[in-house]
Amino acid sequence: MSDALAEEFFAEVSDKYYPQVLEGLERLGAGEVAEGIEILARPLHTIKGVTGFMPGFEAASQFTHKVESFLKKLQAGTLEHSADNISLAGHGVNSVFAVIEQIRDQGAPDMAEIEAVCEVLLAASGEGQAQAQGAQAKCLAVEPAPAATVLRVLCPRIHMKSQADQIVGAILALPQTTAVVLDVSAAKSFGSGVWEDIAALCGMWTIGVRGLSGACRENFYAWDFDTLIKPVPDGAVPDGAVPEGEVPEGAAR
Amino acid sequence: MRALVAEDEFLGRKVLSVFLNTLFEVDVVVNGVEAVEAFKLAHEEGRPYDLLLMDIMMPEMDGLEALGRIRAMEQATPARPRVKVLMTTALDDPKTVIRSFHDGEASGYIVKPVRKDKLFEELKKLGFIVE
Repeated sequence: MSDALAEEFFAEVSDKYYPQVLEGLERLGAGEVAEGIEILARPLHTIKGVTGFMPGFEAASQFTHKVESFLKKLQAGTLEHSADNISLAGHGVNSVFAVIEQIRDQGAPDMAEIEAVCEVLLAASGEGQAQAQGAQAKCLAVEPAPAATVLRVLCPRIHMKSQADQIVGAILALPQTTAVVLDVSAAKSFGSGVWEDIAALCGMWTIGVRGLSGACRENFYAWDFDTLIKPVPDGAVPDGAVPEGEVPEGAAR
Repeated sequence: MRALVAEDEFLGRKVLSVFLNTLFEVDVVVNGVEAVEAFKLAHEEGRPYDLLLMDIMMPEMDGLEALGRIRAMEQATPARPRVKVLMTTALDDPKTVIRSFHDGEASGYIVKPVRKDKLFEELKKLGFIVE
């Protein structure tokens, strides 16, 4: 039963829900928030329900529920219709489809990616925001600039999951057209797991790093993270950064 | 809280009522026509149902059609919260499952026989049971 259901479900996703979702996202992007969410609601509810019923897809159902909750808050006006929130909503919806594809193609979702998106949605929703903001004040400062947004690490040691989540969350909150420079001048050590989480975003964001020194630098090169995260000098923009106004191929809008 | 059980089999009605009656004031109907009527009446009384357990294969009117009518009534009065619906059915074919969620906006789907733990798990997901 579940194989037939999965097959039918994927056919529905591709034939029916993708077009609906694209229309919904287009409306959202055009500032027609209520209409956009109304269109997105039906396919997302169906995805949540059907994946909740299919063994192995439970994570997709729970994740979709969180994205749906975020959209409902936007719809109810509990959350401001800011460009950031609209962009986050779009990112959440796109992530739902990414998770479904991961389960279909790899048999399991990327839980780290799910957690990172949930964290950002939660913080933007105000739930746990104080905690996120408090921690961010200690660990990370976001400095937008025309050429590249600088994420300045403020803690001397970056190893904890919550710290990785802050950095990943800050990158996820940026449009994919924005180049990101991670400034680690203040960091004395930086865990490979945290580098790994950041490196996972390199296909989607152009990410560079500067200020590498000491154990932080050794760990970075020892694990070959320089193949994905490009070291850049002060004031420089990482290679592959897209000039302002252009959108890289395949990037979520 | 109020719950409505729409189920044509005697034993099924009895079991579901017993499962729910510690949490809900339970009403029981035996087909889709009665389910729509009961839903309408509850709204007219100002005491709408919080939960609806809906079988699909029932005489007079099947559960999906009844649910469609209920959703249409809700659409006409959007200020009211939508009733949470759990499909409780022997049907598990893909089209019916997907149609239940997409067209009927069901909140959950339980394939018979309905076990208490499975039902309560769904009730937890819907927030009717808080641990």
